[in-house]
Amino acid sequence: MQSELLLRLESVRKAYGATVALRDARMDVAAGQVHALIGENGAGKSTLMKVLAGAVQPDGGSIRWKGREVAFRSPAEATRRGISMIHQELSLVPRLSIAENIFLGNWPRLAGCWLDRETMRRAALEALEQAGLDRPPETPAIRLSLAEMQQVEIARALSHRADLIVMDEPTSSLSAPEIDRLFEIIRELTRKNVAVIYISHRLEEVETLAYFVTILRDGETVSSSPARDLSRSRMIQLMAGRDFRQHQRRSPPGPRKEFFRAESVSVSPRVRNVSFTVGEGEVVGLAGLVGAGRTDLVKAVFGALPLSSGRLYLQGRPVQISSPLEAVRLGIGYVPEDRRHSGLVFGASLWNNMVMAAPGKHARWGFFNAERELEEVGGLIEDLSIRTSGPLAPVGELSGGNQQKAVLARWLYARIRFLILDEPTRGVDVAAKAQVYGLIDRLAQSGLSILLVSSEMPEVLSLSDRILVMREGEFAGELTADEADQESILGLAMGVTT
Amino acid sequence: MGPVIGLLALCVLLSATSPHFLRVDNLLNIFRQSSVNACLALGQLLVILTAGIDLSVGSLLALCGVLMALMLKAGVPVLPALIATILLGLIMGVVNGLLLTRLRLPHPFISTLGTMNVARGLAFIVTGGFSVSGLPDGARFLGAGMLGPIPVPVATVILVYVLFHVFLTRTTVGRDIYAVGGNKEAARLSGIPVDRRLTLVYTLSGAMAALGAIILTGRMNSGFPLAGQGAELDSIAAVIIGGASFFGGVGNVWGTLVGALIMGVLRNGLNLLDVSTFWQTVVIGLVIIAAVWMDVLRRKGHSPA
Repeated sequence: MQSELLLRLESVRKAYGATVALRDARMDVAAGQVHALIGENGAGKSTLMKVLAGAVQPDGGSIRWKGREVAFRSPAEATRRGISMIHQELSLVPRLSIAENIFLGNWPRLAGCWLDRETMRRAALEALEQAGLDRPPETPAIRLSLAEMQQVEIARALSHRADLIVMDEPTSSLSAPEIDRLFEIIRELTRKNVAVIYISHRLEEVETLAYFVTILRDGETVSSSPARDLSRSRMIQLMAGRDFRQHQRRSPPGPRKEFFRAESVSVSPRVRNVSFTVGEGEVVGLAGLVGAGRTDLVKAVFGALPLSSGRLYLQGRPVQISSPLEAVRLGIGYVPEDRRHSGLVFGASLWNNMVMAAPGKHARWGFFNAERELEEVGGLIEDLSIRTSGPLAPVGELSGGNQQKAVLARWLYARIRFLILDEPTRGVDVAAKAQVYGLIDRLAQSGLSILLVSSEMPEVLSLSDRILVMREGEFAGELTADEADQESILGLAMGVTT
Repeated sequence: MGPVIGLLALCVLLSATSPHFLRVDNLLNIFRQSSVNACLALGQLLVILTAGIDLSVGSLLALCGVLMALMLKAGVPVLPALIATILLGLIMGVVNGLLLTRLRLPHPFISTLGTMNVARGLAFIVTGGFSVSGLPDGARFLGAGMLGPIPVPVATVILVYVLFHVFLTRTTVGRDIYAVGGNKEAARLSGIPVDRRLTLVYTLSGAMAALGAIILTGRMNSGFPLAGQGAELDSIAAVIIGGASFFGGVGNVWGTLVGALIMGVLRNGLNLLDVSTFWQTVVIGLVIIAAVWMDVLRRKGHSPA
């Protein structure tokens, strides 16, 4: 199939502060083709698509669209020029009708200001037919299934005369027959010369659907070739790349005493029937793709999400954990992935943030002893080398790495015995990262049990004694530190045996 | 610091324009007139610290007031009547808290809008819509009595402000309230019992409304079912003028007291200057806007890039 070149992305670069998201991303998309874009978490897929859609301005490189160099300043401009995005989180307004959703912000008008309902209805019907949805355009979006909502989004793209539609993980919440239906619609689109960039972690879908595959790793295009030239295991290899460890922890050999055990834990709607143990002084890594349900699982263990079923044991004794308060009382701590929204109280001082999980540690009759609190907090600040003007400084003034250390310090202050870390080094600079790693090591040595969720492969590999891999809400496999490498983890996470 | 400077500037300005303003009896008078608002604002502060709002305090002021007046008129001795009044405020506050934390109504604006109407309606029902007057003398002391040179309501207000100051700055529960308002999710994930703290602040707000009702009833020597209309908004204004953040987590009792006094000084000063009450309301509105605007400017100056 020879077709004209629609889009060429060339050496696109983008950095957020010190973090390089894209260093040399390239991609050629031909008209009327399905082009898969794959890569592990954080490889730069979504940044690249944001650059394409004008939501993010690149630091360098070029975008050629229909043979002309372009720089979209906003998603609206990209849409006008024929590029539409369908995000994983669908963006319909629930109370508006299908037709209104399709023409949101793009109303057909009469005499410049009146809504032209008749034209809207006719055009909506036409777009819906092309998107394969047989529903009256007056139906409110809230009554549609997820698959139908997706079709409305496709219809919306078609109503903008899109030549290229980007679909981000479109099948993640669809049933098997719905997926087949979507594939038919996509093939139908390509017959009308609409190109599709298809982002997915499901390699079997990539194989069935895509004509061309581009693979990103660390912000760089490492391969761009026809799908038929690539096997699934080759794709995994290319995505994983070299196996490097930034840091190697040495854990004492020999069997460990079990500290925590979860049995057949399910968390509605995503996590099904997961069991694991964490030993005393052991670091257990929890790997998987974004959306595999790892955060839901650990939040449920901590009591922050309701457990649908399953049993939890602490030192062999069954425990009920139905709120974070109960978890904290049992000596469990949780460092959430999102510091800003759920980790710290930004307006409050470092001191108040650090004592939050154990407010009564130095208190009598409900009155806290500020002197003794500050003494201990000061010791922790020094111990963790948190850079700050002092314990009274607002925590929002600290750098990302020091904020993260403050969250960790909170749990050290509370003297917990089991620490759950969710992406502990996200948005943290390299130096602080090394310090956090050193700290995790030291805590494990001192007997603390740690469950580590991380999407950074090298991080999981270098810190964990054992690695559990989750895939689509289920347990996919377990690897010891010695047998694990990026490829084996990615293989399990994507359901491919290498 | 901002509110204090505002209050002092206002006093300087008014003493320059009116010779009556700076007299001790006038200043005490202002404080006494501000005492009911100061009570409501103190409860409101706690609620606003948790990023909430309590619209019911004005109606609670009326309901507690008429209930106290009815009890006194029926011959109930003063002390049991006071206790019952405070208890009623507490109970209504607990209801506000439980509506939010148990029934999970989506926002305290809604739950307290509901109880605001319920309480006002009840105040009309129990009085048949008439004011309750001709009370025995016992209760006057609380609203109009003197402790040496200090009016009793002023002493009462200072006492509760000191108590709440100690509560907020020295106890673990007080500190929890700031954490809940600063970041509810972070507080929850640190094991703070968020729902219990929320229920507590509404309960205390109800109690402060009852205290305000006691002072008001004592001063007027009667209970009015129409009392305190719009008082909830005055209390919110005092809290905001006093430098608390409407979004929670920031604020202190002294700022709120100064906020309530600024409103009192404005009303008094404008009276002395013969400004009509219609224009006074306009000025108070402008002061609220100016106070928050200055806060916005200050924040902008501080924020890094």
